[in-house]
Amino acid sequence: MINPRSLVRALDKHWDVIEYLVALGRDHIAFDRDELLGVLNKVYPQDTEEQRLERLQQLVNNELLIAMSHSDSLQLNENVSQFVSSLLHEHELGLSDILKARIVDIQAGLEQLQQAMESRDMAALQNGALRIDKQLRQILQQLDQDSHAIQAIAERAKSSDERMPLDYRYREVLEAYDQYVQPMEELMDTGAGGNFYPLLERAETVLESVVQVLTIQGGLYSHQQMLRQVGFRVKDLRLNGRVALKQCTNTLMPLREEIRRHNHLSAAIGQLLGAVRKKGLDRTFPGQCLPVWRKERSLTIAVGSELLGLMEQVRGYQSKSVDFPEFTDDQLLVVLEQVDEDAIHRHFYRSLPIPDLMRWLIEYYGAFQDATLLKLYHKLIRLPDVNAMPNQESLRVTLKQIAIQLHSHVMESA
Amino acid sequence: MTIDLKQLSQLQALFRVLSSGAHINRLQDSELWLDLEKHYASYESLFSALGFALMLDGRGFAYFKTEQASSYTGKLTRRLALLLMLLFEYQADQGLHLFQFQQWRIDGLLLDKLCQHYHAMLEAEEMASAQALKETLDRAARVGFALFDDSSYWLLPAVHRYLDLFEELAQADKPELEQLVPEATETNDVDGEIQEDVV
Repeated sequence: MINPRSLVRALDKHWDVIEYLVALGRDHIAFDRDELLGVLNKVYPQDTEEQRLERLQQLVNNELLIAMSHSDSLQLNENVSQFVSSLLHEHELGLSDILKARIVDIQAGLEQLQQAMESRDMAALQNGALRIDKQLRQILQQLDQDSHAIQAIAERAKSSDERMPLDYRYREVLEAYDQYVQPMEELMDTGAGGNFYPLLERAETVLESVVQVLTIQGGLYSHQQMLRQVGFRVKDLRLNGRVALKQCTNTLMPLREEIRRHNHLSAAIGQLLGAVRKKGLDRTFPGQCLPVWRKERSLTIAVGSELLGLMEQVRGYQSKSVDFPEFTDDQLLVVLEQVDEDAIHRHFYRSLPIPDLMRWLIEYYGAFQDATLLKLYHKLIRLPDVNAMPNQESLRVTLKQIAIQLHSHVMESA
Repeated sequence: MTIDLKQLSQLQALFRVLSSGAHINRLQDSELWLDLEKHYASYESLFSALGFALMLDGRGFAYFKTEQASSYTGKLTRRLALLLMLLFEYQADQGLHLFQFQQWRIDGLLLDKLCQHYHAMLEAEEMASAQALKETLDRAARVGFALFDDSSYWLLPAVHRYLDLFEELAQADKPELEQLVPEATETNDVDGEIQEDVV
């Protein structure tokens, strides 16, 4: 009797050699002692011979390896072998007939569900739901395993020696295609021929109607919950079935139709991709074996051009001398005058009416410059509250620097 | 050996490109390449004196060899390796000749197909979208593995570095499973049968 804990612990301790033996198990049924010692030698090269013998003994004691009947050869414990295989995605291609049998069982389960619903037998209802769920789960698992198995077949064909004759190399592929993919395609045909999808659809409607009846008539919440969960699984399978099959076809087609090009490189890539699928990218390319390149982020700090310009300016700096303007005797052309316009306006209003404005201005304000005088003249004739009438006779007046001829205005209060 | 620096007309440009980690490809960087080929011995000894190992491959690419990778290049090179493997696998399935990879037009359509076909494997590396693949290719283009032209990517000869590695790794991987037999035959006669089966 195997002690599960010690088995798991031993599996952990001797994982490397078990992984190796599972990979070898594809081509071998059992191993004899010397072969196993050879494998141990390869997997644990640092071990001494005694340690290897001890390790082999431990493998046998923990029942990871068990003796074959009628022979002294050792084989992997079948439980361990299956468990490790599924972890490493090493699967054998299943039989499409198994799927057919499961489909029949699901049909029986659906009938059981309907009958149980009619007779309100809740225990039978539960059993039926569990039965369907179990089959669905198994189908999902099988589809997953089969697609891995198909990929493995394709990878083996791809990575085999390119000088091998084609029919020999493709034997496995052709067999897989004829015995698995084609029957599966017939089974999963969404048209009239297939009975997989109609079954799933029926399962979905039956489950939904049962849930509905339970909701209306009342039933245990746990029962409804369970039926709903089975319904989810049906949906899951509807989605995944087609995808899995499509992937299988995509994988095998280029090989079957012999479109694929074969050479050393494609064989190598096929093999490595298989390793990536099973072990992941990091374990396939360990350490620093991939091409790398220098990526030196050399951090040099350089002085920017603006700063350089500034520095240059600082270095060649010469203080700028500003010459103050020298005192000049030249009189300003325009001499500023202080004009008290308000006083002039008051005087102007007092003097109204004025028969001749220009003469009046010259009389009282002749001291101002010509420009100021003329400005005053124009301001006064535009005042709003006086009437300005130009004189009929023109008049010539000589001011300080200029002489003007004008029709001087007569100013009256309005 | 005296090196006449005046003869090495492309010294500055070459050193700038190579020391940035990029690969020089014959057809794309023809000026640099010609000068490099012409004065290979001088360049090589000059660079090696500076501590750089210049590698020049007859298939048309040159680079500075280095062993250490930063975490950034380590991740990128792994992603690029996966992308190249999937691309070559896909093209082999289409019946294309693998060593004519420089003529493949790698456009959005092709990248989408890669995403669909190898979704599971790409997803495991968090690059299951055409956008992620484009980013990887963009980065590869920056160091001279690819070229972006005419709204598509084109692989450059430097990709041979990966292809060589793939073949080498596959070679190293293969005997591991079969080596058991010759070793075992030394000790046991019965295994002769097994050996025949395997070979």
